[in-house]
Amino acid sequence: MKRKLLAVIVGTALALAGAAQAHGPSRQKVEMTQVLDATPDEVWQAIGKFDDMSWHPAVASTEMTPEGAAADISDESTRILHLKAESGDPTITEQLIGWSPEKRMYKYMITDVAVEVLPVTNYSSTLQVKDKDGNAEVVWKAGFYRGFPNNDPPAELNDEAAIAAVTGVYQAGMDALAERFGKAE
Amino acid sequence: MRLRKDSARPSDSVPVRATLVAALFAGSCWLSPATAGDLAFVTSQNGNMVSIIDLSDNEIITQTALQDAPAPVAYDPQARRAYVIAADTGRLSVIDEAGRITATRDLGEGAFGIATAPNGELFVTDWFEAGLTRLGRDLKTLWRTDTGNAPAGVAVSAAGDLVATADRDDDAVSIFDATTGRLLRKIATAGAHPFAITFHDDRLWTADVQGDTVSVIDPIAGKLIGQVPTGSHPYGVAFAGGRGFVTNQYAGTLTVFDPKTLAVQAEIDIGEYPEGIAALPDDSGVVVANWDSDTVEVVDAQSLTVRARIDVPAGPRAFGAFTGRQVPH
Repeated sequence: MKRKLLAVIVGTALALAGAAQAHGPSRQKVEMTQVLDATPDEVWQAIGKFDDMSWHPAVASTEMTPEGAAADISDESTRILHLKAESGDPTITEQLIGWSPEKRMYKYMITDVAVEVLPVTNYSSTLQVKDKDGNAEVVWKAGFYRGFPNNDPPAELNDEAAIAAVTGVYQAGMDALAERFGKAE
Repeated sequence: MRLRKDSARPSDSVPVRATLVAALFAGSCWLSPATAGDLAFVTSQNGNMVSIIDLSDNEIITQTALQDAPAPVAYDPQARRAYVIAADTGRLSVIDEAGRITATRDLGEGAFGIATAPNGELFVTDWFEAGLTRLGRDLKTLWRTDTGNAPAGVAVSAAGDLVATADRDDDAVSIFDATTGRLLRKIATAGAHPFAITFHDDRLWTADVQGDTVSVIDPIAGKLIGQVPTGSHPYGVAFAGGRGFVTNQYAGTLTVFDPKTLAVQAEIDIGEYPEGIAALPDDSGVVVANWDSDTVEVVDAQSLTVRARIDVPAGPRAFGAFTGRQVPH
């Protein structure tokens, strides 16, 4: 399976990951924020739909399962992200676990992903648009374990690889939003 | 753009409330009855720190740097010490009530859940090697026995005669004779992936992470006798003021239930990713570690409101019985 964009992201991640460490798994945390030159409502309009991840450059299409299901029901709404790839159909399946449009926020967890696509397990995440002096502040954060659940993980499935991969995905999303809306100084 | 990965590793003990701590150490009466209090030992896994919180005024007394992801913890007021396991290495550290590390032992990378027995001995699960070890107060091994796959939490009965493990990957609880390590019972939980386990009212209670349930088990009859529906991804269970409380990691809530009828009474908002939970020693509420919010919150068992919120270093987990009342000497 070749995945052009994600391969670049994860490749960069692995370069940063360093040597494998022999130790047990512990939960990792990544949080990224970006203030944009747009109102919170404008940005929420673009990224606040669980059935539309087209704003992220790594996502080719968003499919709700079952087809046509509602996209705002906690612990039920489930989407399949089809990622851009040169061949094959790498996917990430995610379920909505918290829906708070009044806070411009939703939470979700990954229910199915191959570690070759994203080297994490037990991943949950929160995407929120906050109001920072009238500008949109996008906050994207996740808690997860590395891809390899036991000790002595291979380098591509260790803690550092997991952190770097998630960081890469979030960075790509934030960069796309910064390009679209502009960064606020 | 700001990126936070919470990998800071402070290299030294960080005194907080320095004036008060200095005052306490100036005299030799730190553990005198006049200063005996209710304490919480909160492990910050990502921040590599253990914070000792005085629960009477909800202030951090002192902090102890501890490398390699400290997470499981058990406070033994009788022994005037807490035991902490570093999840990345399986190193057990003994921390006294002034935050000093007084002993360590490397138990192997899989060492995880920890609990103390009434006589001051302790039990540690081995996540990778599927085992349970009993240690003396001198940390020497007394026995080791096999458990189910991926044992996480461990709990000791009030009388000290039974010890139970939550065998996560077997979706089961194993109950052992605490003296000999002989397996007495193995009981399937209501939901998949039991993680935390606790004795209360002669019953065993597990938080089943993948099942969104709490299992209620009669350890003597060896039967699952009930279950409580929880929010998404329950992590820990504690009891206070006649009520049961469950931390729901993904939901960011506490499920409150009646331990007698098992009826859910409320689901209340708490910080993000709540994990470790333990009763206040006066039974008036519970103390919750919010892994993602980097806070500890004290919730009143009657009003179900947050009484206090304390900022702690990154990634507090406090997995285990982390609260207790100091014993005057």
